[in-house]
Amino acid sequence: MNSKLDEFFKTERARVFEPDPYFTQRVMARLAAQISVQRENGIWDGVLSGARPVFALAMVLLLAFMAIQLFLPSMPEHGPIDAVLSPDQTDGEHLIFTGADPSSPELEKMIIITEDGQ
Amino acid sequence: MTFEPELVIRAQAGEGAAQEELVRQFSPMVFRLVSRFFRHREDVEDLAQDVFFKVFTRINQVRPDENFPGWLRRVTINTCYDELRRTRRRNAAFEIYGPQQESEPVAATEVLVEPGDFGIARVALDALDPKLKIPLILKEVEELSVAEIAQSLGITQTNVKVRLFRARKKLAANLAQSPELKRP
Repeated sequence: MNSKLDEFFKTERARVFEPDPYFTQRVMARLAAQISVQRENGIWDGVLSGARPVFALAMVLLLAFMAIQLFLPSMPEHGPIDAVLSPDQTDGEHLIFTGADPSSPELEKMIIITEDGQ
Repeated sequence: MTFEPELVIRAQAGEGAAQEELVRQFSPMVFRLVSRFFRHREDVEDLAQDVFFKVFTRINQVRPDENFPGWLRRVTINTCYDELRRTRRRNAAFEIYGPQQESEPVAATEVLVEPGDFGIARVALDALDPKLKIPLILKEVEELSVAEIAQSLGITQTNVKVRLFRARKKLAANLAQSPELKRP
């Protein structure tokens, strides 16, 4: 059996494929193609393939947040309901709604007048 | 043709002509090595391309004083090893999940009958784990020394000897299981 195996290995030694004359050109073309693809996808090459969907999602969310910040008008500091009501509020009413303590006797008087008026 | 180490330095600098010259000089060696593990020309060609692709993407890892042909041989063997493992996994999955054979399975030896019973030896050799098959082929077919195999595989010489011993033992067992040999 060993002699047969030796014979087999001998035939295996003889079984060799040779590159054809265009092999070098094909390798160079593949390299060039890969380099151009790398240039196109430069940003993605730095990210592990498994992390790419997460990275893409994070980028979409970031862009969406930036777009919202850019296009939506900024909200008033005292809240949307106050913003709607504020044109009709007197100073006294404003103090009642906000719950602030009147710091001066004039303001206190104004509140009393407002409440009496209602 | 003698190899000029300067070619590697020029290829590292991205010079296309130097890269082309390296492919021209070393493609016969890469083809010969890949042919040891794969039997179809298309597979050999694809893997040889993969090898050169890997070589040029990692060429900056080669030191100017390093033995480039030795490094290239290591890359080639690693590429073959990865492909053999992939093929083995694919075949195993196909055996489990692939379509069921309706007729009686045909013995591999009946399909691969070749002059001198080499079909049996080929089937027995292909059934080996790539970890065992590669050192055995490098030793018996490529006729490398144990030290060269150890260097190519990045393992110790003792490890190579152990793998060679196991490979021969397993090959003998595979051959003994062959129905052709069991015949009286």
